[in-house]
Amino acid sequence: MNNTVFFSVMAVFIAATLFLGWYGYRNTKDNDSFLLGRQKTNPMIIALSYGAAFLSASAIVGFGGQAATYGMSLMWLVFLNLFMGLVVAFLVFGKRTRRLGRKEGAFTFSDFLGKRFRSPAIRSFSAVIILVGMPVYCAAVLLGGVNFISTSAGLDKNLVLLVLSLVVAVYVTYGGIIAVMYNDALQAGVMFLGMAVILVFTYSALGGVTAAHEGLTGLWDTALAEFPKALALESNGMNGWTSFSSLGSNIWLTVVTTFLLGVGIGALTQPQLVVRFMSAKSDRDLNRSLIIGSIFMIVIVGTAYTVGALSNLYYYETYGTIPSLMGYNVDQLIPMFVTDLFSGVTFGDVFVSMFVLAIVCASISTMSALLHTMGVSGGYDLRTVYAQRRGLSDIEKQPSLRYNRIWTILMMVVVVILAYVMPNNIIAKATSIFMGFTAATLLVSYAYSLYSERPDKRAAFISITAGGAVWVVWGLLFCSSITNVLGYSSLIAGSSWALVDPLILALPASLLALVATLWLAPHRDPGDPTTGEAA
Amino acid sequence: MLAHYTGEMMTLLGIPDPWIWIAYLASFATVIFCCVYGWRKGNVEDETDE
Repeated sequence: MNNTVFFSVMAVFIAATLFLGWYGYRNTKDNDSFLLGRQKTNPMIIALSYGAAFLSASAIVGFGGQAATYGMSLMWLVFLNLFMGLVVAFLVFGKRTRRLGRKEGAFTFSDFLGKRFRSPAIRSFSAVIILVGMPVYCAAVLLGGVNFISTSAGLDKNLVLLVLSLVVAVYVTYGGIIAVMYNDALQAGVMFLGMAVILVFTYSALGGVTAAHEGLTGLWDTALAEFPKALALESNGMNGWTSFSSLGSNIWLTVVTTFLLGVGIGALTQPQLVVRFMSAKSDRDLNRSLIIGSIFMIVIVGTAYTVGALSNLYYYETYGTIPSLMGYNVDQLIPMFVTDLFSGVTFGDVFVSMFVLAIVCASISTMSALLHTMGVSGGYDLRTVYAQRRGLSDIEKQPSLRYNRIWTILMMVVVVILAYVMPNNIIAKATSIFMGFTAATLLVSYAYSLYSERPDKRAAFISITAGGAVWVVWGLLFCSSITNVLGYSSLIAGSSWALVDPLILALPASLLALVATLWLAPHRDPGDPTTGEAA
Repeated sequence: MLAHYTGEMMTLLGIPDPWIWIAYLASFATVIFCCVYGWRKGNVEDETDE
């Protein structure tokens, strides 16, 4: 790649990013505007910001790499991203969240839960989950972007990591949610353009849509004859890159429970996305957001997973080899493919630079949303509960912009440290772990808080505890895909059960605990919303 | 040809497994739903606005 072109593009992009950061800073007058902006955000900004925050480099680089291994089965994740991440999220959860959030005066996801359940403890618990779990996810997102840029541009990884972190930290810390959402929208536009170009070039290089799919279908037999890993995949249930794996096989369990359900359902309880609903002026604006949001999402993830699978055919036709079957790091497959795809093409350097920029955008749009969420979880949620508990004076209890900023910087430091110590090939895994854990603990209680007039905090507590306990026990002891990441073996290694994602067991446990508590124990009055004390 | 019946199974754009091409169709159907719903509901007054 021509670094002069790349650096020019990056310089313009960073200047635009910092300008929008300055715009956010100018419009962030107080704590409320740092948390939710002016609560009249344009539907297009909501849609693009939601999409860009939702779809990170994990979705493109991480899951695109997984699609190179598991094939087009991951197209079901596109459907789930659209159906759960947009239709259900906006229509079933989003509208009620916006209305109830405004009615309760809530500014964050944890604040929302705390006020709905009249429970500072639930608010604190939710904030702690965010502060503990989200840095890992954020570090994985950062790592995805850093790996991609350092591979594509041949730059030092440490330098890229520090520059990206610094740019994000500056505009989130000073510009708050306004800078985050406007930058998200800019970054979403770049992502859209970059991915659309990749899709067109990939199909064009492979002789058109139908020819590419037929070629990929036929390649599986060749792969079985030439690559031992293909035989290993087949013995675990894989039927090719254009076929779904055999029902109940090891690969089926991994694809369905970890990738499809873990990420598809987990999208509903992402605190950084819930805030987007609360920043909308009306239900009508949320409805309008669906149009842009859905088109954006299908182009980004549809392209990543389709191109990921098709990269196998491209490599075999071009080099007679299949990297996904040769033990390459899955997170490097998409970067390698894009660089190869545009090598020798007229204006190839411009296209590669554009794609690298798209991945940078995917990374920092999600990172900034996560960083803002972590910053306000510490600086607003925990700080407010602490002030109430300690009986501080009214002035001291007032939410402060300063605390949010301090916590934002602090969490950025934690994320950078984690990014240094984390292994390189766990981008997709870290994403599904975080999304799975938040869904296991909070999804049932969140849905209950939306659809119950007087939600019972004890039922929510028991539900959260049950979901979290089942997830932790199963995930840390039995689920091999998590224990392997942590460096030890599952207690039931070798059994098909070891491939079952903890969310599959934890979510029903959380629901069962909620229903059983409501059925067996009488409901108590929710009490005073301002103090959190039961009446 | 968009869809092709081979005698044993129908392929869609060269994809033989219905479990895969149904995922593509379902994804596009969801986008169409979002566009139609968003357009219709995005142009009517919001009764629930504060």
